[in-house]
Amino acid sequence: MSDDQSSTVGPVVIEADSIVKRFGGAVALDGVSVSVRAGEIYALVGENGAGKSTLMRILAGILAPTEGTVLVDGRPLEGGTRAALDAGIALVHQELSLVPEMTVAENIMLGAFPTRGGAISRKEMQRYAGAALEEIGVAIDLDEPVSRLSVSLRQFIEIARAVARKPRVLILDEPTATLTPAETDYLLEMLQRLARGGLAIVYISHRLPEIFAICERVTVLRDGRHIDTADIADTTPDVLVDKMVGRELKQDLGVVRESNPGDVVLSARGITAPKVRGIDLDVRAGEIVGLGGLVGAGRSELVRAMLGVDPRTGGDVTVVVDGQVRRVGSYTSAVRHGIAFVPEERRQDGLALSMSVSDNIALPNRRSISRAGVTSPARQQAFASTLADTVGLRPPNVKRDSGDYSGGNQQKVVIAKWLGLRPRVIVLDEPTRGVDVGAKAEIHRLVRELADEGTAVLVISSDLPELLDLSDVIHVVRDGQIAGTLARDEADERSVMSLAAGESMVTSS
Amino acid sequence: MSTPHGINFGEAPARTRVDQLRRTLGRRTEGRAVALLAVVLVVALVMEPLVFSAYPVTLSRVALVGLVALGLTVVILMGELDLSVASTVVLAGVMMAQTDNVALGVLLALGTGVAVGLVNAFFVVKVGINSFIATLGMLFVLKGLAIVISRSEPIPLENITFAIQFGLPIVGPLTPRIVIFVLAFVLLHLFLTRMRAGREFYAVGGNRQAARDAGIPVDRRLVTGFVMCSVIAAGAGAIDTLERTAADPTAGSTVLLSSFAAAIIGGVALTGGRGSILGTLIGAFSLGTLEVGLTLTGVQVDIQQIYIGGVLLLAVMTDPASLRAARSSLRTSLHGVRARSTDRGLT
Amino acid sequence: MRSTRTAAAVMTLLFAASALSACGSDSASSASGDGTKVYALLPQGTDQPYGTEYLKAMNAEAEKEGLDLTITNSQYDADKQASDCQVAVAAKPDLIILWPAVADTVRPCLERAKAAGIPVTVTNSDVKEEDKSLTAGYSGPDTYGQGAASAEIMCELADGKDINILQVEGLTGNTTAINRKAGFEETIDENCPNVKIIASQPGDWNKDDSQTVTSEMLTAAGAKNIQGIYAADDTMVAGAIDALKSQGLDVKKMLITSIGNTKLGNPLVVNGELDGTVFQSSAWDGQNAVTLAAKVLDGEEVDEDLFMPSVKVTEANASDAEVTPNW
Repeated sequence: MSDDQSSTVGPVVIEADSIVKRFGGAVALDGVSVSVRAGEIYALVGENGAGKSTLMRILAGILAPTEGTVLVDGRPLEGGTRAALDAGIALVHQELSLVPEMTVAENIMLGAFPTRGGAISRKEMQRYAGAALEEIGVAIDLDEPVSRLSVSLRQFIEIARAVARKPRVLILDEPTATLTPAETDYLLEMLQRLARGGLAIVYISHRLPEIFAICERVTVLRDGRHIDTADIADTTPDVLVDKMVGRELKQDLGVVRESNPGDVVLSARGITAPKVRGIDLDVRAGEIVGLGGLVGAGRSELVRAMLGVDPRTGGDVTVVVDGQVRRVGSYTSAVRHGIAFVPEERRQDGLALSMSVSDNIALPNRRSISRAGVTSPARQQAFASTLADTVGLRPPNVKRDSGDYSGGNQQKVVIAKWLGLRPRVIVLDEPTRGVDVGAKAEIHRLVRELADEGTAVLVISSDLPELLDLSDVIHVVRDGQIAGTLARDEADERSVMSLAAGESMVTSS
Repeated sequence: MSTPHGINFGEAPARTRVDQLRRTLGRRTEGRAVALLAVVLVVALVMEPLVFSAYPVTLSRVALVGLVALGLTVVILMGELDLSVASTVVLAGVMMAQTDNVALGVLLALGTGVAVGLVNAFFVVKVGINSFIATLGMLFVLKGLAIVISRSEPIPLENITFAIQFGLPIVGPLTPRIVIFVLAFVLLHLFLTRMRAGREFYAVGGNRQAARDAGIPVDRRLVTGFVMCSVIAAGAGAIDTLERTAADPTAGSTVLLSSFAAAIIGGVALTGGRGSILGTLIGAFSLGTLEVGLTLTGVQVDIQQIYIGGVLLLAVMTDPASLRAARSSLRTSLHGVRARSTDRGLT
Repeated sequence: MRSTRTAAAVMTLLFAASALSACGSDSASSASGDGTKVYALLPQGTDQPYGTEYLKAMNAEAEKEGLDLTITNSQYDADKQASDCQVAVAAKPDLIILWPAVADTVRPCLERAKAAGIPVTVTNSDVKEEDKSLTAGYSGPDTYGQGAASAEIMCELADGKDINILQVEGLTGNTTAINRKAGFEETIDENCPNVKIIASQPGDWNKDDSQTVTSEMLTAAGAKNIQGIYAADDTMVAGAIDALKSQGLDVKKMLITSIGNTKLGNPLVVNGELDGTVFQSSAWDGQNAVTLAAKVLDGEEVDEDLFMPSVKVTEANASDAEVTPNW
């Protein structure tokens, strides 16, 4: 990031001009403009749901903007993915988009198989793919099927695929989420090298140290709005965080809860499962325990194995019910013993989107709303309305289909449906991912209230401010084990991140 | 070789020939099919050697089951299904018998195949109906059409001499059906392994989003696949009709299931993206040999079906993915039982 | 490793199943008296009531004649039967018994057998006229004679009075349907011109269709003008009887005949609703398929079709042991 480097920055290659994107009624992007120059690494930051991924998909031609245009070399980009590819825009997804049964070489050349006389030329394919791997400096056997490779290797193959197309713009979405610190360092170095070669790079990450290590400029998005664009040299991580989070919300989050933990309610010993390597964990009544760590560290796997949602290979979980110790062997027994689980993938696991809010809330509560096994619609609705009120569903119409509500309100419905059971323990996996700011604050309020009423709360969150703010104690998970435990007063962004990532990466800022 | 947890940032290590061979074999999806075929052949050799001395018969049975299965494989590789193949076979036969001219008839049959493929693809690609449902609908529609057009009677071909000639060997033991089958195999194999479009079928089935993102025209590939499958089924229908000297609107009742069975035994994954034409060929060989062997020993049809079902289940169960799933579900249920019993113990 | 395991598992399965089938097909293949090998290519077997009885009688007769019988079942799939035929020809038996799945499609099979010097006898339903020269004989129901026998019952019942009747035919174009119709109509013309067939419709061997067409004919001709009904099989006659009942007609007063004497038709005769039917015995069919084969194997020249006697079944003999329905 020295001066001579920024001097290599050339003309603007890609430009987004006043982009507006609406999904149905929801505004994902509201008049965002960015322009990236050749040889520049340009950072897009913002909290989850700020609109980074939507912007990236629009730049790559996957989504068409509702208003505004994308310009490449001053010419409007129209015609979807194909046109974007032809214009030299390459995208490295957060979700891996490789074909598992195909070889490394085939995946790198996917969509651009070299042919000779109609037939695929294996020799050419090997040559191009090999050159791309060489360019990023990673040695992988070209004939190996991708299904046999580790997740980090797959990430590098995605990058090789992008590079193989000789792009002029390379967009990366959280490329380091699955990488080890050493791999991350390597990747960052590689990106700098590619930029020196004249490539325009758009880098999306929530890891500020990485951004300060390699980027020249940064744009902050919040709630789909363009908040600020600055030279990295003129800003600091604190300033960026303030802009990402927004002042007023920061103050709102700053409420410190008087916590008053009681006895241990939920206790896990020696949990092992795929990606979980022997974890002990206790949650007390009235306590909020946070699980921090990077995506892929094994946090979700841990709670899913604890609650019996996914099979565990070892370990025991107990819950105290009215002074008696009960074992949690299966998810059914977990629910029976008063453990509520709000999963990460609420669309997939937590809600039946085609059913009304009222029906969804009624699902686990059939017993409390039916008499002699018969449910009356009126009673169900009254029951659902009360709970919808408690969680602050907006608009509070329980007859509407759950799918009609925004992400934040859907999450409230999931929480509401469990509140009816008056759970002893509530486990929330990424409770505010993809949720708007207002709903987020309300969900936080709700979680705190639950704890105040004596519920034991276990929260997984990748949103650091949220985790720091909610948790009475934070366990940081790395590589399937607890890397460290921080009490509220010892925990800050830096301490959590350094535990989460291992030492090497935070030092670079 | 790269280690699972870490990346080799240097030169790829040199590989020995043995390594390379082992890896190449490890990649193949036909392993189980080969094992099954070997067993079937050995058992046949012991119990009914006639299977081998009468190999032309075995070959033509393989071709009977196999041709439709080859086309079906193309669709399955893309992660779709075509349940209408058997009805396409029948309808193509009936269409063929509408004219006295054999060449024109064959063209009519193949044209029927193209039309059916386009309609299937239209429903799946444009309307967005799940291919299982779309082609299930077509199964009934086409079958009904065949019965209506033929007035539910067999239609004898005019040129019966040619038709009978068609059923006889042309070179050595090879009947035209076998020759066409081998030709179709070679062409499809080359298409799927060597041609760009064919190789992209695997991407469409393996990870459709990735295929789209990489700029592969997924919809066009799907249309091509459905049309190829239907045309091959229609070709099989024309061959069947010639060999039996008449179009029969009720024929082909056993085609659908055996062609699926051949593909599955051959290691083609119904989820798409995995398998090969070679696998289907081997699957068809296993199935054909098994059927001929059982028929020769006079095993009743009901019991033959037990064998075939057994082989099919074995083929699926021994799939590494299914084995893993079975292991983990077994473990979960055992774990659950253990937990429940301790549950009670503590109460 | 995996392949070995698979192989072992398949072995086990195959041997287990072969043990199973050995019990199952005991009677079929163990009767290898003088080693005379015969293949029987059938389109049905234990999967149909008719075939079940047919197989029993066939196996019993094969044992008696000392034939080593191998039976296939193509489940009415003509392609499967063609393939079974190839297998049979390859096995070089001394004779093939063929029950055509679809008569239009057996020519290649007959040609193949002829080329291999294997005689073919036909059972149950005959091949087409132009293919008869390729076969060594036919045994089975005399479909023309069955129609005629049913007509004879009708004539006796009419007893010289002038009456009008309806006819429910079998599936259009089907050989059996055509022959039964011809047998019935020609015999009526000859023996009792006083009986008039005033309407005739196909019921497609199917009870519902028969009921529908009968209702239509009753309406068209006027129910009062009809004194009798002939249907080409027991299943269709049951539908016709339902149609009569639903129009409020007294079934017992009507003159009703059919063909079959099946487990469906026989009780109708016993209770008097059906006045007469013609026995088609699956046991006779199966037994005589082998009898005919044995004759051909013995070098006997079989010039004439071996027809199943068309035994008339009326209220008088419906409960006799000889006409106990067997399918």
